[in-house]
Amino acid sequence: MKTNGHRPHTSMSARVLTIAACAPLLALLATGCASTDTGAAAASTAKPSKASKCGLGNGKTATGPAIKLGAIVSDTPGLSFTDVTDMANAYFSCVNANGGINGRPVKLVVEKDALDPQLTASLATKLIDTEKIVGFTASSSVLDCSVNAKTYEQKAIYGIDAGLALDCFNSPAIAPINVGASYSALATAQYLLDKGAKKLVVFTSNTPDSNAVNSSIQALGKKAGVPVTAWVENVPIADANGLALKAAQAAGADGGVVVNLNAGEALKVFKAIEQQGLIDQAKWGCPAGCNDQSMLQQLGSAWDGKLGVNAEVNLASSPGPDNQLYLQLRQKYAPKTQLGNFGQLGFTAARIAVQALLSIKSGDYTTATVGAAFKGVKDYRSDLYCKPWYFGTQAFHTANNTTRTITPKSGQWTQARDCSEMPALPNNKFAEIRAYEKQIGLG
Amino acid sequence: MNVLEDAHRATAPDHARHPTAAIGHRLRQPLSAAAWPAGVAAAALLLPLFTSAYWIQVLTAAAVFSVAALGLSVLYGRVGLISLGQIAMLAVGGWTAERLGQTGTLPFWLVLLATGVVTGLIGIVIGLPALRLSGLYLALITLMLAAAVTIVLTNINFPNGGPGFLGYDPVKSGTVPLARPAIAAGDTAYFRYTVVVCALMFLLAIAHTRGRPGRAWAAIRQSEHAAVAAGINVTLYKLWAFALACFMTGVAGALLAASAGGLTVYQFPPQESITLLAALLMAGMYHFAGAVVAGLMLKAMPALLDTWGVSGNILLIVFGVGLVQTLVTSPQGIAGQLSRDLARLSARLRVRRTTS
Repeated sequence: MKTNGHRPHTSMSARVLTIAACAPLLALLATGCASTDTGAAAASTAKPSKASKCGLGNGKTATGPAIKLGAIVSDTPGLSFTDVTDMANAYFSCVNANGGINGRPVKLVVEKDALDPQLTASLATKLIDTEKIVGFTASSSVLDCSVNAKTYEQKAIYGIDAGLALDCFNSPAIAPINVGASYSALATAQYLLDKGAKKLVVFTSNTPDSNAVNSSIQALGKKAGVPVTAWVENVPIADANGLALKAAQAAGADGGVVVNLNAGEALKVFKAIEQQGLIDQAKWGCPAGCNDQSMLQQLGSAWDGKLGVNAEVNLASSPGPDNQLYLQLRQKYAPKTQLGNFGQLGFTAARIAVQALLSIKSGDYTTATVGAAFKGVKDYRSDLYCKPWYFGTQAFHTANNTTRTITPKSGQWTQARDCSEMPALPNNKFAEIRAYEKQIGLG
Repeated sequence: MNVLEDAHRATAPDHARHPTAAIGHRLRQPLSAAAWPAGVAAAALLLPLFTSAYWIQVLTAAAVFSVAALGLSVLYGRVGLISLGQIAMLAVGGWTAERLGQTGTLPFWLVLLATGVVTGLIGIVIGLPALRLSGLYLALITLMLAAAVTIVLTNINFPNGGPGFLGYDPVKSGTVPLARPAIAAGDTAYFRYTVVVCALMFLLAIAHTRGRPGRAWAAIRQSEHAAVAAGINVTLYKLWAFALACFMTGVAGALLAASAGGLTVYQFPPQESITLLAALLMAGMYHFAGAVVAGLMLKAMPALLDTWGVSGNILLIVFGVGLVQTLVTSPQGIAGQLSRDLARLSARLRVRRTTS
């Protein structure tokens, strides 16, 4: 199925903008526009495009019984991903005000879980058996995939979600729209290697996937021929100063450190690094969890250009039509959500789901038809992504396997590196994924 | 002596305060205490006919937590030993059961029993400080123990089919629930199985409190010195109480390990034991029915609030306010109040019948 997703740079205005943006650089540098390590906020300075439309975009209010989709989102003190579902709901509100799904409204039933597997399992049962949802969209739970993936597979109910745990990427029933913490850490390590790191250091917060993350980076180090020091760190961090010193010493001269913690804990470490004057002792990187606006505000100028953060989607300041729509909907429906990553992911999940639902022409929205529509999503294009997204028929999904790197600069996130592929390693499936992409014409 | 103990001494039922009263109580109502768990079990067995799969899973968790509350009820309500390590013991039970179950050779009932024995033995070790300590100090020690269990579990994780003694494979992700018995593979059947096992735990606790240990505990609760003077082996009966409470909580942990979702280290934070204590005080520390109410308050109430569109987090506030209200106006908790009201209603009906 070919979706109605927007193709970046295909409209006339986008082409003109691209040429206009490239011309001075071509003249001055005689290099290509798509520099791989510019360190410039190229995206944020371009003129914004006209925003994409919501669903049918006909301005008519949807009526009739709602098509129910479900989401399970983690929401506990200190660990909340509700920005994902809030922005998904914002997009659905806009869709319902613009013709809905062929006239019918779509409703996202959101259940909030904590870190309790029994609760997570029961919420999935509630959504499927009681709420009678026809598919999952924008789920973003720490435990959902680990606990419920098999149930979803058995009941043939499919999800276009924001995956957190590795299990989300290894289920035939779930296709994450994001990269996830593990692969994001891998991409960060690759970025540090590309920046010239001669040794890699990684410390990961102690979660069920932490050892797998570290193993992945060790495999990357082996492939690149650089030594890797990896350990698991219990959170909350008790001694950030000691940890900062330990990491810098482990990295040594020309080493790169992946601080694989969530934004709040990582900030403690970055502050300790700054206070001890260790910023220039090593190259520092952080996975997508650090792509957080509040963290950016607290980092300070000392970190300008010194920290590489993996970005699962484009900058919130980027001028593309989908990002413009995201900004408009956030302002209108979800102003309390943080600007950036998680909100963009929720928006994207909802957008893909709506385009899949719109492809069902029979008017029959069941788990079977919606599942088939979800699975049929292929070649979804968006300015938020580096390359087309698809659901695919494989038992594992990481369609978003090409990401950007961003860095703080003058109080803004700016692009440090353009789209780069995740490294294929013996202990991940990127080689198979890319072979599959070639097979379906997306390679 | 803390506020809770003051309240307890003032309000504990007669059979908890006076050994002789306990005997009288036992003689007057030999079957009543056993009747209600049987009634609850019967009702619970019929419940699946009238409720959804979601509520089956919620009530399974509630049944498990009612046994954890029962352990605390025995320790504090009967012997006066405060323990803030019951949730940690639930986790230890879950870990032990998952590890034993991973061998694949033991039948489920034997895994339950073996888990209970292991946690019971650990309970004896935990009980050793209780021989010299009580009140706030014992609470602190058990809370620190719970924190230690959390730290250990954070580092070793729950078994997931890996090799070695720990049975944990760091590369493998996802939770791995304990395999259920063949007769209770589905959620509904497992709920019934859980209810039956939980009812057995309640009957075990009732049998203890109505026998020699119960009388000894009541004496210790009233005055350790008087109990020693009366020839009661205080050391034995204190350790016995810890062993029993930990045995029951361990079995509950094993049941939890096989419920939907498996186990993670996140679900057993040390502070959860304080919530358990608060819920049990509100529900009725001195009545075993209170443990059932506490289980429902901890697991079914959040689900009910969620159904009404209210955040389950509000329960922490409700528990705080409710605890104050309970200690001030109704120290015997919801179960005690219900029991008293039912007795009054029954008496009035009897009077009306005899006068008419």
